[in-house]
Amino acid sequence: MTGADPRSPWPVARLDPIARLRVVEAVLPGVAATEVVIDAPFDRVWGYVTDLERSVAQFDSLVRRVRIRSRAPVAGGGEAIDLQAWGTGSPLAMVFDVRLEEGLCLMRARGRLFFVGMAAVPDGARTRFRHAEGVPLPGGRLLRPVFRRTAHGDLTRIARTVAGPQR
Amino acid sequence: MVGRAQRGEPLAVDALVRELSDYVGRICGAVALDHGDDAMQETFIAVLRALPGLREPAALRGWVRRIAVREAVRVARRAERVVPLDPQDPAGPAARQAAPVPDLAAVVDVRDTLAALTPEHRAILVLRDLEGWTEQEVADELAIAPGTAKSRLSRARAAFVSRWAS
Repeated sequence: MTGADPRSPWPVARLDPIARLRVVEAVLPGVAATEVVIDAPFDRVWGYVTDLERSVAQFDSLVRRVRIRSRAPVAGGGEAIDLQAWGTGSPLAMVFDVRLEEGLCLMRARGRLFFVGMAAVPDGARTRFRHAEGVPLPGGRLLRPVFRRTAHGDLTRIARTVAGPQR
Repeated sequence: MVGRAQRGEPLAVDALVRELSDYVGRICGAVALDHGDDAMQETFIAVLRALPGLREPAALRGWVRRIAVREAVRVARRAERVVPLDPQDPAGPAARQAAPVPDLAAVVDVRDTLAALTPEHRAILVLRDLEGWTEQEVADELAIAPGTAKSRLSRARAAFVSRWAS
């Protein structure tokens, strides 16, 4: 909701992380998204999904292993991460440039072969979570139904892992 | 960054959104008020969809501002039930000219006062009193005649003062 900026009496609008992901998706053909409310607090959800080396291979059925090669803080907040991801059935790794900040994770494979976006905001004691993925190239539009299903599957596995009482 | 965003590079698109967020947020917040966040999202979607056609990256901010004002007015119009300013209201032309224009930047509770204005009047106040534009620049930006900009600004300020004092 539009809020106040302590430096100015004028109302100032903001984009939360989910709105930012929606904006980015809107201009990426071939990217499909799913959004759900997960029955777990934001810190638990976000802590899990951003433990990328552990979580991605668990919730993403297309990935069997992730390795972070480097990470560095970015001016204005957040981190830039360079990681490799090995797909199921492939000996070759894709290299991703990742932008990670509180509530938003954008992962772009070099060569624009693949894009993954995750965004989360607290929703009371629960968490609104959006997951987008696909091939951000014009021809990728044909694959949107496929990526909508895989994004939904990823979200289902994330929700199953983090929902319920704290383990 | 603009060139890469024009080519649909996802991280550059997001970087451009981050870069412009404060600027767009000020315009959308002041014009669309409680619907400012929606206006901001729609502004960025409109900006990014049209971005490949932007010939001159140096003109980016002015181009974005024009879209932000348009989208904020449109979203506010769609979402609000606005009570139009009555041209026959007690704050007539003479009273308007005599009314002192407050230092808007010093007003603490601007939101409630702005809420009583139409989106079009909020837009002109934002450009003139928040962005500091001349009346000619405001007229050019909103594609209206200079006389219309002047009278609209006068009515907006008079209404602002009237609401603020009530």
